[in-house]
Amino acid sequence: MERAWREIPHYRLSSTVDLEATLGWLDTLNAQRPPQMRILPAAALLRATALAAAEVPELNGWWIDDAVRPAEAVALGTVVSLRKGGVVTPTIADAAELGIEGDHDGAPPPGCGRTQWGLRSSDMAEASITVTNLGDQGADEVHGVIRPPQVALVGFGRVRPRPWADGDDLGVRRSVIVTLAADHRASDGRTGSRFLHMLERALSDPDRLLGATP
Amino acid sequence: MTSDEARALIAECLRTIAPEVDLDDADPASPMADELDLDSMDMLSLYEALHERTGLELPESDYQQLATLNGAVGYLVARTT
Repeated sequence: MERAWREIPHYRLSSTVDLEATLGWLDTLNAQRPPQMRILPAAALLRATALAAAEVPELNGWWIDDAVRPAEAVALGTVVSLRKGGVVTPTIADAAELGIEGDHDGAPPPGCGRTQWGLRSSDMAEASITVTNLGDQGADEVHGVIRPPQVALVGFGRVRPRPWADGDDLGVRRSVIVTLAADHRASDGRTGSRFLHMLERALSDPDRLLGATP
Repeated sequence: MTSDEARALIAECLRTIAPEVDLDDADPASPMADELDLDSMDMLSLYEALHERTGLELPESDYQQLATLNGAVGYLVARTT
């Protein structure tokens, strides 16, 4: 980790993203579902990241032999802290092709959304991009270190209500600070900004989050 | 369901989700997520297990009431008797 930080020329970007549309939609959806069918906000964040990564190949791949090698699909690595200490980073294969329920035809699969995005220790394939999500008890933002040979790491801080300007009006909305740490050899700030913009767009459009294809 | 039964049920459900946590070490008045280091998926698994055992719907709008051990015990006692 320390070596990655020393050797990879990181650049860092962040955006504060309004989650009211997504969370409002999940609230309505989950209100009609028993607990085992409910979808966690974290699933929406992962789904949106997968959609954005599919659209920005410069950030979805590996730095090998002095060149960026874009991956053919999004293999989404997810950093999971273990309660007893340490982390594991299971990978969700073909993440951009999975709807938020984790199913291709949109029908609720057995065990449903949470389980489909659930973390299996057997799933340890090489990720093409990694997400770290601090969750409900976390800090406002997280600035991670790229896991080589990957070229980007996405960080989600704690979702919380924040003051939000909408035109001339000031209101309160639930939002999240998204950070991107990326390898400057593989991409630049403009590409990184495009990725964050795609991510923000996905999170403003529940229909795209739900759908099984981008 | 009595308070003792509710507490025992919660402890039993937690054992499958987070086997190493001990309810006796936790402040029953502060959120279980903080006290027992449970993430949102652990909490959902807890609600899922409680739903299976009690038949209660446990809507998301009640999560706030279920967040602490005291709150969850009171909630279960009030709705299962």
